[in-house]
Amino acid sequence: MSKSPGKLTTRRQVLTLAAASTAGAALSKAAKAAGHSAMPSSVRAGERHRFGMAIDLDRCLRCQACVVACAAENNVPPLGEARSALTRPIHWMDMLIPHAGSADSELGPGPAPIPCMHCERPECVKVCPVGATYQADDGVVTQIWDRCVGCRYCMAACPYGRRYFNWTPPAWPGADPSSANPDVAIRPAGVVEKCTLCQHRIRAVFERARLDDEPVVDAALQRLPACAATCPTRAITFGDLADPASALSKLAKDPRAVHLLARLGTGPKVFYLRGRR
Amino acid sequence: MKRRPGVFVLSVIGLLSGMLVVGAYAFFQQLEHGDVVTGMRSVGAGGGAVWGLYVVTDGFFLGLGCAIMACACVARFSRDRNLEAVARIAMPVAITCFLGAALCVLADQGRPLAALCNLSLFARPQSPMFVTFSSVGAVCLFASLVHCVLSRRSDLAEYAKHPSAWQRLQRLLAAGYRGSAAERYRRQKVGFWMSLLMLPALLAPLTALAIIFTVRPARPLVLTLLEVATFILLSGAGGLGLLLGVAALVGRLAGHSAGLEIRGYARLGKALLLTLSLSLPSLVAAQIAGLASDEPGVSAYARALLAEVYGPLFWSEVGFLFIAAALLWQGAWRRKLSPRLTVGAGVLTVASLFLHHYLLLVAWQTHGMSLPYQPGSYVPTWIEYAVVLGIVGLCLLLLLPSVRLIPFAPLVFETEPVKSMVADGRRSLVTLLWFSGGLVTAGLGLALSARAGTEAFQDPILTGSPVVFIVGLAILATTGAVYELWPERRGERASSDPSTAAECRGRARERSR
Repeated sequence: MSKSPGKLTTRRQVLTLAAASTAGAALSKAAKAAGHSAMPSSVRAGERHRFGMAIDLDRCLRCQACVVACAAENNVPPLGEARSALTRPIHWMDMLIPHAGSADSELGPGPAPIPCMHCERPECVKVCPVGATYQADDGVVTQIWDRCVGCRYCMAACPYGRRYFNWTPPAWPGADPSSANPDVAIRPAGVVEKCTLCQHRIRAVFERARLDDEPVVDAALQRLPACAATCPTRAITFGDLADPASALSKLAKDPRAVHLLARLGTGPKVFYLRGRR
Repeated sequence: MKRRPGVFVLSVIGLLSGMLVVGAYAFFQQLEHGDVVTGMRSVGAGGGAVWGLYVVTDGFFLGLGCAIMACACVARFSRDRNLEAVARIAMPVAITCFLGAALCVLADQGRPLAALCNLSLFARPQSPMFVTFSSVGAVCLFASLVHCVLSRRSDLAEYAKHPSAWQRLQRLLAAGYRGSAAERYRRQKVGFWMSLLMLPALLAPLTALAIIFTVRPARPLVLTLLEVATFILLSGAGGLGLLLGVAALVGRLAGHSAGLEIRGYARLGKALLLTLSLSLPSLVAAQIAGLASDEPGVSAYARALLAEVYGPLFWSEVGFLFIAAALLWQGAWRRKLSPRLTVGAGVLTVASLFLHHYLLLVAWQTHGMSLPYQPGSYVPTWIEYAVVLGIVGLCLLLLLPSVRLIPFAPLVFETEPVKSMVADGRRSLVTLLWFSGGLVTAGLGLALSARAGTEAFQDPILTGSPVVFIVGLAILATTGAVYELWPERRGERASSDPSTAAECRGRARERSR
């Protein structure tokens, strides 16, 4: 490579700089790892997570506050009389009301709140023909709404039936979506949508922590999604399953913990707590 | 002399155009108001089916197309004179079915334009839909078209001698064909290899579709395997059935010389009997496996088919299959498989195939959920019926001019093997290079789409690499055309014998008499 007269850096300088930055990055990584081990119940921005959720059915009142809060937070259009007549509702968080005469599920005979299970091995991700749904680095199974072509293969493949299709264009009372949450995109007709564990909230918390160069404490995560924040009995706990000291990881070891359709091998990261009665 | 279309043809064109207009209107309604105008709704708590009539019809058409094209390929390389008409009739019908399948899938998409664009840019080979998407485009439609035109060039050269509205196009497609021994030898060789290579290529989209229809996480492996086998076997049977029906129609409308001979009907009838004899036990075994399953969704699905809401449809399907098999059995037993009998059995099989696909897809979604949701329901709306009818109308409207362009009636028969000739080194080299280019392009496209060698698999390494894969497949599909159409050397051309074409014509005339 010929050396131009205007260039101030030499090859030696470039190599020195590269070596120094590599060593610096390695040192900072080691320092972060040391910091992490010193503070087990907090997580640093940029580390690998496995976000999940626990729903305590013994605490749950079945009040459906989580259902309403989820819809409001994530810009799910309100139903109203005309739209409910179309019988195509969208509920990222819904109530599973067991059909009379059916065999009992792991959740027992009563109704139970049911969001997307954010599986470790999600069937929906495997079948999506265009990569519109994917598992993010933090374990959240999320959706690129603009890329979705509306083939609905993910809906047919999901054993939990936790995906919804926009059968109609989104409509708001008085055609005014000004009450919509600006952090969440409004989905057009013809795409599939689902629970994202309020990923926009997760990102905001971690972005703030990154800017402040502070760890994210587990307590700040526990009630982060709208459903968990609204639950009057604190039946819903959110957290990082990759952090062994988090409240969620402790709940996962609770003898009451049950995973829905665990036999299918999908590895749901949302699980339930149910007393053995 | 140019012929003017008769009243019958005009009324058929009018009917098909009417179907197309109604279908287009319904489709625009769907685009404007969203898929809420269909009978589909979300599964589970939504209490419906997310795939309905469109996907059922897609599976139906794709299955029929693959089976019919496979019949054409077998007929081509078997060199059975009795099946000669099969290949001639089957190819345009199969291409029409593939087109219908592609349009049905497009109608089902929530965003059809985005589907065309995003599938081309980001399609993932890990999804079974990739195989159907790329195969239908490159293998089923394109390769079948190439195979069809190449195999009828000798006829086209003859038809191009008579004035008609299609003469120019016929001349273009038959350009350079002189009926020499060398050309006939190449045709024979290319026809054999294309037919042989297309068989596995046709099995790929059919198997992928069977996987899309049957593979669910809660379904036991035995049941899935049985259902995949039933799907493929019944598609084969349905394809034979439709071929018999179309052959009868062609024989009636275009004259005996264009249709199938009695022995041809008997051969197809026997093949239909064989596929039915294999698919019926497979269907029964799948139901038994479903009933015996511990999985609540699977047993609920089996019960819904046998005794509940889908009972009438399921028993109609089984009844049609049994009647078709019984008709063929008694004909085979008496050694009298008459054309009427085989055509009747074929029509029953096609009806049964449609019911099978409907039940397999819809009943599973409404009754096969693993969680204890309320059982759902699905009733197609007039929009869905109209769109499907419109697609059928459009495909048949496109078939009509293609039949005028390459009529079913043959003018040149070539069933006797031509003596092998000295290999043309330059032609072979060009063909080999072309084939290698196609293989490399397809391989590259697949590897880039699949993110081979990388950890993540969300996006292709190169955006648009699915198109590279399809282009590679298309290049592979045209290898035969390159070998066949590569210009002859001057010396070769002078030594070729054009009188053989006249001999073939003479034989054709004798045969039609």
